[in-house]
Amino acid sequence: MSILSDKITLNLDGDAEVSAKAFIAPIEYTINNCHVEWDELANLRVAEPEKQYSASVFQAFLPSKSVSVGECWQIEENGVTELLRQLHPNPNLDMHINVSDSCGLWACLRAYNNKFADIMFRMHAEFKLEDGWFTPSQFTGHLVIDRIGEKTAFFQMYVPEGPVNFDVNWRKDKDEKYFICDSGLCQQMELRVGTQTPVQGAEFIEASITDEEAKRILIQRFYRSEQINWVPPEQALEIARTQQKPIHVISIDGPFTDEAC
Amino acid sequence: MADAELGRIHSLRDPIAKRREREGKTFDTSHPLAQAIIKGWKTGPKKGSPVDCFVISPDFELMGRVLVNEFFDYNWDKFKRRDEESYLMFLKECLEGKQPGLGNITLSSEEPSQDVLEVFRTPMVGYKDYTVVVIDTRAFEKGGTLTIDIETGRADAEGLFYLFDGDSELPMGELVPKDKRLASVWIESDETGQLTHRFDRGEFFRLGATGHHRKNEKGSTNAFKAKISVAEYPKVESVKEEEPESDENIPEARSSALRLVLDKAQPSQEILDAFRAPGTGYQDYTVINIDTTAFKGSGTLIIDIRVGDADIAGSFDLFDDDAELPTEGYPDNALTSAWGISPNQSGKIRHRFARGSVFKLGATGDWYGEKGRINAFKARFSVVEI
Repeated sequence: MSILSDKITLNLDGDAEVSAKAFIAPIEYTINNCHVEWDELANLRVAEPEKQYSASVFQAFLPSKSVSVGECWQIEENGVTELLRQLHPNPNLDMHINVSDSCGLWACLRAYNNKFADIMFRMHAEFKLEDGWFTPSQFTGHLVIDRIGEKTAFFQMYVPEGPVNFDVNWRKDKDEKYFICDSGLCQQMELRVGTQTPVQGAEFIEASITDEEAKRILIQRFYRSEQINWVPPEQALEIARTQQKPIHVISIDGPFTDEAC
Repeated sequence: MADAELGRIHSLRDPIAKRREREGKTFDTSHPLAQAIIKGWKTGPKKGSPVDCFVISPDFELMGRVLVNEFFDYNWDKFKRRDEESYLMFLKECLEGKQPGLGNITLSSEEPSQDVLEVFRTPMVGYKDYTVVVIDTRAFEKGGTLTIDIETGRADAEGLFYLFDGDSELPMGELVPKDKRLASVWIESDETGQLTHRFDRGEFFRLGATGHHRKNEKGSTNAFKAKISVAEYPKVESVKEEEPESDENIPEARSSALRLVLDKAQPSQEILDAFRAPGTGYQDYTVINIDTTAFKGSGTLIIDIRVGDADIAGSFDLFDDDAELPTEGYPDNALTSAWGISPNQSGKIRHRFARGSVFKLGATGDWYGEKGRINAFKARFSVVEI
């Protein structure tokens, strides 16, 4: 992925106040029924449905130097932890299961014009529950900055949908060392400032990449397997047919490139 | 590819169907690749792995399978082989046509005999519900005689055992025509039988084991042990087959209660049986009574357990004769236990007694196996006097 050369500097007025809304939908699906048996999971709800923040909290998402479209930088942890506490009081960025590429908080400049700059981000975090861990697949989203007013025009941080989008480790028996593992689907886990992104319909003549391209840049910051030049299934089958080579399939209960499995 | 997208995880079918409807997307599970993957999940002795790797030919035939969650630990524990070495070996075996992980018993001059510990099931519908063991005899290029010595467990279900070609379609009708099988035998519970077949050139065969649909309750199960051997010489003729043709002379159902009596003349006995996964938090015991009252002094009861190849682990608890066996929760009143013995692994229970009495061994699936799934186990009971 090439990085467009024109660099911009991103700033926020730290004195402004913003109101963020938080949502966690009741969990209705788990593979092994933990959401039925484990009350703490069944009753997982947002800590604070609505909260006022100083805009300075979003400075955690800004780069420390000027950046180009497609360029990545690391997000500062304290600001993110403060935001995650609105969802649950015990967030943890140092993942308790980490096979070397699970941890990280990364942002990427997706697009900008004279009015707005659209930052896309991805981070891995989890919540420490009383009897275990709740690990979302990932938190992703957009921070849109009003470049003229140096304000947060829109912010959305959410756990995307998938076949499963969270993993849990439940110490069912407190006297035992082992955890019961399960995965499931939470239909909504989200923090939001504003109702609709102002970049929809906006033109980014100056510079932009698509959401998909930005996602691709971000995921490569986490998983080494993403350095493989994957091709779509149809193309793989065509190559197998024409070259008469076997197909190597990985069949997995959850997604390959997030923390839900 | 996420298994759930192909419908493997029952509890997620509903939200996935709703999501596809919302997004206006469909997923073609009838595609030959999807079908090959689905077939792969059901192939081989162990099923239900959270991560499977397959090698599939351009014509969508399975060439090999790895259950990732067990593969690397097994290769390290048994061979001290590094992960990348093990995986490279798997890929090479796939390309060499050895079909690793597909449940094959591979026999050769160096290893002409192998044992299988498995379970058969009586069909809920239709006439056949095969447990299949693939037997690779290709190392015997000049032919030989394949012999399968089978022993059924003590549960009530009677078994029908068939030997088929490696690539023919498994017959599912009530009677299996002679031209569709190489050999067959009907074995009552707790009995033995044999299949033999002479072949001129090594090839793949399949052993199909199913409960007898007319003699057993639907869905009933039993364990079986099969010793599968090839002798290059001498070649012998196949034994006469036993084929049930009618319902006449059906033996009385055996009692499932088993009481093993150990004494000085016979201080050791072995049984073959099956256990069932009870679901998380529950117990569903298969019970064996062990009578050691012949030993008037102190001794140690030793139970050596081997769990079968099916995909659930077993937990075993030893109780006093008058103990009430729990149906849920931890068996707090057990004398001693061996929990979580994985498929194809062994465990041991030892209990020292001051004077011989009657004990009860309860065998159940551990809490992580899918409820209702079964596995075989073999247990050897011995008393050593002190």
